[in-house]
Amino acid sequence: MSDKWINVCNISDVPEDEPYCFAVSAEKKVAVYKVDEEFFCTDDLCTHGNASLSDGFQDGDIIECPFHGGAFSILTGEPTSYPCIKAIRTYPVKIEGDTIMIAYDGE
Amino acid sequence: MEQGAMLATTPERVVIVGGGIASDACAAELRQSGYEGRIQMLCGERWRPYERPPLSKDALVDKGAIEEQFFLHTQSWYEENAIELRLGVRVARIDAEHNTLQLTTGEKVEFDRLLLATGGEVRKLQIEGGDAPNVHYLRTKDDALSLASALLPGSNIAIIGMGVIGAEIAASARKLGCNVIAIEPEAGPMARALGSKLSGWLASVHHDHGVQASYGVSADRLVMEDGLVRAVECSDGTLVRCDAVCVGIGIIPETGLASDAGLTVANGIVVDRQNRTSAPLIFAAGDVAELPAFYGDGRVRYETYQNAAEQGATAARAMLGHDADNTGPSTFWTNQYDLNIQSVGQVSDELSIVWRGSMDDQNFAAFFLDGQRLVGAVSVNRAKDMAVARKLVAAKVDVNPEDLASEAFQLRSMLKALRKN
Repeated sequence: MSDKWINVCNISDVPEDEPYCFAVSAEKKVAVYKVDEEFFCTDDLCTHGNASLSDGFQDGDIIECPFHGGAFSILTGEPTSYPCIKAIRTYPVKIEGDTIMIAYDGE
Repeated sequence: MEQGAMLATTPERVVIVGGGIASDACAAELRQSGYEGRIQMLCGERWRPYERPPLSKDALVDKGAIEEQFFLHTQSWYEENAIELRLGVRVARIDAEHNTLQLTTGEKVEFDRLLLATGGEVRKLQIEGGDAPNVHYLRTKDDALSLASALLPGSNIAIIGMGVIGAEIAASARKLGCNVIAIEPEAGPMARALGSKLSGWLASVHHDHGVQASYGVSADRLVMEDGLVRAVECSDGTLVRCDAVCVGIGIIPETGLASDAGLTVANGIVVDRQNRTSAPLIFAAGDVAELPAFYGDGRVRYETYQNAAEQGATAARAMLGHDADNTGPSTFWTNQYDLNIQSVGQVSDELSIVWRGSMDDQNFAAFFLDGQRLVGAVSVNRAKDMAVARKLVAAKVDVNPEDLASEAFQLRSMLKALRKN
């Protein structure tokens, strides 16, 4: 495990309940969330359909997929609502100054 | 009173008839709610429950797509959750008085609670040749594989019916390089689902993608040659030559088991807000169920994915005596070309429309208002607006049209205001 911290965005980019989408590579996007003054990061692609979770509805620590009504816990990535049954990947987050960074190993 | 007393007993044997998303959601919700008794799922098809939405899209364009990520759950999920999947079995009759059903093999199955999620059968063309081998209907995985093999580049494909299925097949067939000729009695594609303005816009999208369409005409006759359809004769006299025909003219709900068992059936199996039929231990959900409408006193039957899943889950909770209510507006989505179209609630020409975003950029939302009340919305490539619109429509709120139309206005703030009240 050689986690590499990468810069994602500024804390002002991520208001409470407004997920922020960031492309870490050509194929991969992550969604960054603010929940009760804390920041979290998950994969942006829903594990069920071909939907971008950052387009979804964030309700506290739950992100609802914008396509089919499934939902995930932003804190753990675990699915909380049918038809999503596979967890989304979460990433460790740290803040340096005003910059949000995530641990990303390139896969 | 008696019904409540009966349901106070915890069920030990739940039987689910049908293998679609309503069934699957019911089984999932039963376990989620802590039910530990038996769950038997009787599925008519050879496959465990799968996703139907890709059948008219990815499954046609890329046959490999049908295998990956296509099933709702892995085989092991059913095993881990002790859900007894029985594939390729058919129910012959239900005895609602003795809580048993009989399979076509003669085997008897007893139940404490029963879910009927039997879906529907495709409506077939009632004209000669309607069952010819090159006439395709689309409902199942097998249907999709058969249709996919007919969509050859350069072939002439006649599509009869430009509802959501026909329109999706048209888009998939164009992607594959087929010549597509569409025949639709209404004035445009998905006219009933989208209303005339959005239907007119979608007609121009299909036109720009090379679909030749005849709207306002019906298919009157199939011209046969060696047992195959070679042309479709339309009501305006035109002859559409074709290599294959795809028909998307709706489904007929499979209510036979229910009506034979003496349950109340109208345009579907009649259920209440808990998805309970006229027999207190028998529930119905999904395409086959007719439930109280979200608006007014009428009854509706939805043929949509999310509504089916919600009804299956509602039935599961009601079976266990938990709080359950399927009240909610209808929702659907469709993907055609590079468009993601989503809809919620009422969409009709009698309502006023507020536009947000740009039709020319294919990035907009249309809000449908009854006076000040927001009753429906359609979004095009704007999932984010729809995520909020769904909640606003469900909450039956009055809105300020100028706010909806203004891009500077945050739709979300309307929800926040709602929560404070």
